Amino acid sequence: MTSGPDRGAATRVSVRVHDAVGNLGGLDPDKALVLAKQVIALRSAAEQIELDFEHVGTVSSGFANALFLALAAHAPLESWRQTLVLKALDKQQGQVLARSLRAARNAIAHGQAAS
Amino acid sequence: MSIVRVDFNVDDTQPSLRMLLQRVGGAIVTAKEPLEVDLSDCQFLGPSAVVTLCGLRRSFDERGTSLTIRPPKLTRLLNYCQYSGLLADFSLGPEPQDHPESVTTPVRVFRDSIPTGAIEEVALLAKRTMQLSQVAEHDLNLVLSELIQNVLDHSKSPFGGLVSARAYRDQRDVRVAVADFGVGIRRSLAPRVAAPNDKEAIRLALREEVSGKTSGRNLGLGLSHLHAIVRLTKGRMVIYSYGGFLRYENDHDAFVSAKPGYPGTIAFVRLPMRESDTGTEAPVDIWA
Repeated sequence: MTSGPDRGAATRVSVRVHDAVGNLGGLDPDKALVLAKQVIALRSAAEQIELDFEHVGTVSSGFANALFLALAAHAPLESWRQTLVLKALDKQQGQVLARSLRAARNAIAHGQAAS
Repeated sequence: MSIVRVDFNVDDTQPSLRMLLQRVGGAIVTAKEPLEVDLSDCQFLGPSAVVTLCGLRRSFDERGTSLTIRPPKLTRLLNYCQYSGLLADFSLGPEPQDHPESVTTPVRVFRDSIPTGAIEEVALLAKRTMQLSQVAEHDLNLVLSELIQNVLDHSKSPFGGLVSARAYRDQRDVRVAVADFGVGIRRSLAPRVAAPNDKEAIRLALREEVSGKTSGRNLGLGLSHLHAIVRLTKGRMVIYSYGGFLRYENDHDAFVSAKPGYPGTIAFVRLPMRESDTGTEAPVDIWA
């Protein structure tokens, strides 16, 4: 579920990740593609996209890999740094996402990531 | 029909798995006639034995012959065989029903996608058996998902993978085994890295961003991540892939060549359930 952009002001939309991926969806790379599609669709409508990880539970590296590679296929990863705001991320989720992001950057830099 | 006796315990250690393979394994290669594994005098089986026997049965089926088991006499072990799904897999009993005192989850087969239902079953087993902190639940989910994702991404196993878990209340740990009967770690690495043997292939696969990127979404993090979790929780891990195995225990890795080899790859993890996270709670800046 998303909350819509505020009209006028710098726009930020919020995506509730749990609603997008479902229970234990943070383990499933296929669900990451569903989330990525949703995020990419919102990009033209908002300056910032908030990903709210409340109630998501565990995030696997397979999920994180799929998310970052799908986003990178649409726009350079560094451009997403300005766009994505991560909310309610716990320490372990953050660590998994950070490792995957680092690996995705390396893979892209070395031309190893499949698009 | 040939009969092999398994009159020893298969307790999730590599030596016990190797003994099982010595008895049964020779028959895998030459399997031309049905084989029965006689568990009558066995006293203990763990998840590694369950996934191995269920996988071997499928291997025999694929070769057009059959593998059967003779159930154990010991009541306690017979119950484990029932609730772990071993008996049902060999058509020796009904599908296991959820039992409030069961210490195991039924063996599950997965092939195309992450079986979130099976992962949830293991978490429920752990919660039923002991108090489970959020960090311990994360550990458990991550261990299972990394092991399973590896099978899906790399193994090319003809019938997918198998997962089984058992909880130990007294020791506050959960033991999981995930097996496939695919190409093994060395062959899955081969397009990217040439490993001289199976034990060196396992060593390479544990390094971050080295393992075979055989799917568009794999970045070679799975085994290194798994290793990190087991190290952090002071657990134990065995990875046995064809002629090599890794044993991680007491903060020490041992990479060893093994005969007979495993007919695929099996990973076993003993995961202590952490009471809480002892690290800092500072938020992680993933972009740093």
